[in-house]
Amino acid sequence: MMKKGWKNNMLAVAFSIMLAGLSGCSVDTGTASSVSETKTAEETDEVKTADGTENTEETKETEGSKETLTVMIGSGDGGGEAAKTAFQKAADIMGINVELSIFPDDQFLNVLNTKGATGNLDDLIFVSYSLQDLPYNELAELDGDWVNNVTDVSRQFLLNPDDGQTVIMAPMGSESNMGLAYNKKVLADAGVELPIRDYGSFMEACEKIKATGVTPVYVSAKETWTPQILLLSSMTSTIMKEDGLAQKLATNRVKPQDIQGLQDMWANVAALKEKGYINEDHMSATHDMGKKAIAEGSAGFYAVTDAAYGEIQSEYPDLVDGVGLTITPMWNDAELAFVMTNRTSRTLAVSKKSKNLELAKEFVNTCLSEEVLKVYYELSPGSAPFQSLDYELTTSPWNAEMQELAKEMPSYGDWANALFDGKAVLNPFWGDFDLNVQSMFSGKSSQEAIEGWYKKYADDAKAKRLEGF
Amino acid sequence: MNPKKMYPVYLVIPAFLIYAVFFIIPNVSGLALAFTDWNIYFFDDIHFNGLDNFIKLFHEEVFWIALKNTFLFAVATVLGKNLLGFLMALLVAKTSKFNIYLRTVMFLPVTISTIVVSIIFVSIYNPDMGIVNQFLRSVGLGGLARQWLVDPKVALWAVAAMEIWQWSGFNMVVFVAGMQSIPDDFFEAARIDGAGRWQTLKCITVPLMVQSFAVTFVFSIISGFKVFAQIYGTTNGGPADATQVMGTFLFKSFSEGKLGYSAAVGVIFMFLILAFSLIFLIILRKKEVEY
Amino acid sequence: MKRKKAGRLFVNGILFLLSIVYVIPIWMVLVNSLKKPAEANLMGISLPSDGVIRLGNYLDVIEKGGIARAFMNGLLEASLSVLIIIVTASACAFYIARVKSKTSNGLFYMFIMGLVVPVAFIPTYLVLNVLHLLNTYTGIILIFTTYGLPMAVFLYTGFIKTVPRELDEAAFIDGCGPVRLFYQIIFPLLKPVTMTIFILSFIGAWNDVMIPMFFSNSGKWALPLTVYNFYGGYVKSWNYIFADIIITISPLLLVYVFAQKYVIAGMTAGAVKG
Repeated sequence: MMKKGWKNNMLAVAFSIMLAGLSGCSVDTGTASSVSETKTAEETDEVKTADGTENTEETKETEGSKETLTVMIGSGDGGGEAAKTAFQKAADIMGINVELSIFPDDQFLNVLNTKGATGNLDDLIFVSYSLQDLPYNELAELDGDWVNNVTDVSRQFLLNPDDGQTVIMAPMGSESNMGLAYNKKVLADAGVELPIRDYGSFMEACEKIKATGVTPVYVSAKETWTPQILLLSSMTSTIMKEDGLAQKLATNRVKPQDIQGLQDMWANVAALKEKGYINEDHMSATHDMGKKAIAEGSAGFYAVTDAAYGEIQSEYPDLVDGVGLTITPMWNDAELAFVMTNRTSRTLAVSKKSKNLELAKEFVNTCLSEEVLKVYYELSPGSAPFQSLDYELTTSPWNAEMQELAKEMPSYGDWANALFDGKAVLNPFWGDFDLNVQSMFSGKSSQEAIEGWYKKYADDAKAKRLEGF
Repeated sequence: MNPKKMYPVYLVIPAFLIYAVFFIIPNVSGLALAFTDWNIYFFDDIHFNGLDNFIKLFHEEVFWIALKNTFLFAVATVLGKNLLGFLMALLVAKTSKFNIYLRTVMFLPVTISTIVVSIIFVSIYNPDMGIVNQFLRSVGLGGLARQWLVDPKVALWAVAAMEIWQWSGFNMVVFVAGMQSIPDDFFEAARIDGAGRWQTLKCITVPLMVQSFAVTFVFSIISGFKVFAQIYGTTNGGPADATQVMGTFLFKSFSEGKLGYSAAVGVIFMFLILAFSLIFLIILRKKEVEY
Repeated sequence: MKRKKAGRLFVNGILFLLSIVYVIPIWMVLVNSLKKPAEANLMGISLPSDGVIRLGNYLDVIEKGGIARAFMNGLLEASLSVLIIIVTASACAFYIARVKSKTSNGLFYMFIMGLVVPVAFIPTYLVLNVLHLLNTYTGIILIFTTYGLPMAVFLYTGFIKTVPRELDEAAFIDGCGPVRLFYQIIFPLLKPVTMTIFILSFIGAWNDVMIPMFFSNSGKWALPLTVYNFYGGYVKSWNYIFADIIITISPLLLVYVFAQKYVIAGMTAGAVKG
């Protein structure tokens, strides 16, 4: 079956493989690390030259004495334009290169912790996690004009949890609102008026919308981070209502399933499905589909973060003005109504062990300068986490709408990020919250779901050796 | 002849050294870690906790779901890949231009990264836009359209179909080679003896292809049980853990930073696959000796 | 005779349809990689509706995704690890196949374990850390080698058993040392299985995602990870994702399509005897 020429070729190949391999082998089995390091250096050079022949344009950029900073980033943020563009802008201003290491989102925290624990983080990290989840001892102290200008709501989340003073993270993203995006026309056609202050009225509104032939609430449970917003943006006031409740939850003296208000709220969310107020394909629907539905008016409400404004703006520029943002009334008691305003959503931090420590710190300050922030906020509008700025950043009408609502009702963070007695005590209690909320839409009862959440976070808390677990 | 001189142990050393440093040491220490509470938050502070991890594991509902799913997935894909592969091999064994085209095309998916295949199938199985449902609707079988990766009743099978799509071509190629290595005289003799097609297949082709079956079975058993990227890239164990398999279950505990616990899962996982594939391998090796 | 022909035609028809099932997913990726975002999101299998073939998507992906470097990384990591696998595993298998002893048997099963046992990421990570091999090409190559060795040893051992022992003895009497005996006399006879191993190991290393992701920084990542530049959690640009997929799979596809005759011949001869 094989031709002779092929045979000879194979022989030659096999022989060269053997020789090359043998020489490689002696290097590779050698234990002296210096040997391997030299080899690595050689290989790096090799790649550069090979790269050069492939793409001369890129070589021009990367060659020369330009310094390079690397940023670890999750694919959720790295896949979007705002952060990428802003970092590039900052790098251009400083005359350096910036490189992004983009990790799949579900692996990002794990990678961060592994690399952090062994001192192998990249120069910078860009995250939306809270500090307690991160290897914060690996992060360097930051300093810049912005440090004293950060709002109180966000400041708390930038400090080293051990001393409560050192600023180790820089707020890049806006303070964010979460709630229900709504289609103005759908609501007007159904005769629904906002704000809706309790679940009972919300049900009435859903019924009216359904009568017009439109899906009242869109749920995109395929991406678990979306349906959880329904509860993420509605549980805080119930926890706030009773003094010390958050602390009891945090020390395992009370379980969430034993709190009537929370139990009701989970049941209310599950009831959306039972009553047929959500889209049929809720389990396979994605965030992309949700944005489409709310923009085009095939659904009345859709739970989102305000980042969706920027996305809808770029995807459906003609329709974005027809979409607004309001509160998520999953509570039964109208007195519990509140606006959810979160701390700054995205933060930038520098690794202590960075070889370019000073440069990386300077990069952070450049990122928080007027020029770069303007670029970032244009692509991802929101309310900046600063007390005062001498320039204007793009904010979205959604934030303005929520700020207007905040005049008639209190404003809290989400339950995990809300400050109870000045501290974010529920911060480490994430425990598959999203998966458990999702499970209510795939057939589990609200009771099973809330218990599942408790079981999981208790387990995590035990691993983190928190008091009471 | 002194075999010690002719086959000195140092031939083994390079492979062994690499393997020992990067496989044996990590895995043996992993074994020990299965009995600790090691986690990412207390990286330098490890305590032995006896059998706690294992007890917790056996009490976890999802573990049993994962076990069941892994088994179902393995059985479905071992059968699917081998049956389809064998059938196709029978049909394309003769060398012709058309058959070469078929072989090329069917082997093609083997070269694609599983993560990439998963991303492709996520879009193919998309309930609204995906080509599977589009096709079913266009031929009037819209009633068969499903939310393939979401409906707990079909999700696992949909992923199994993807795995079969990717690897049946590999098995086919191995089978084709097995068939081609059977001397023509055998078939000639059978024909003269008046054996029918079915008889030829049963008495000549299959028995003489034991080696091919051994290879494809070992590979498909192992890859069936080790299934990970396929599920990870499509359903990631969801909805509500309905499609969790051992691979994703292990990975999830690892992602959450529970390293000791995850090591315990790994140990159990390993014994399970070992049980299945080693039995098979030992039978295979015995066979070889008989030659 | 006529019936037979009609039957064959029918079977060929079915086979042709089946072959479409194999090609259509790749076709879907290809056409959508050439569309504008809104249309690509629909994931159809028709050509771009406006008749415009957007090769620009590819230019964008190559620029934004750092494709050139990722390609070189993959080539370097996959080919060097495959070289080491072939050279070391074949010699190791030669010993295992020829020597009947407890050591040899133990070695065999020890390597087979590697086919079965899942990667222990964190302990492996720590080993690399101690050896200062994290974030180095050497580290990634050695890990790829490690996870390619078991299958190579398995296939080589089986194949070497079919090579007559008399050959070793004749060569040894001629004065060959064991290393020369093996690499000069025996190794060339292992071509078919070497080909198989080359293909399977290369595909394995080329397509792996987890190992580079955990054990190195992005500067040493290969093509499959570049898809995450576009496969974000919040916004997905499917035209770019699909273009990136085509770029990622095309090197192996092209090599395979042009060399498929040899690939399949080598594969089969190697795998069947092994």
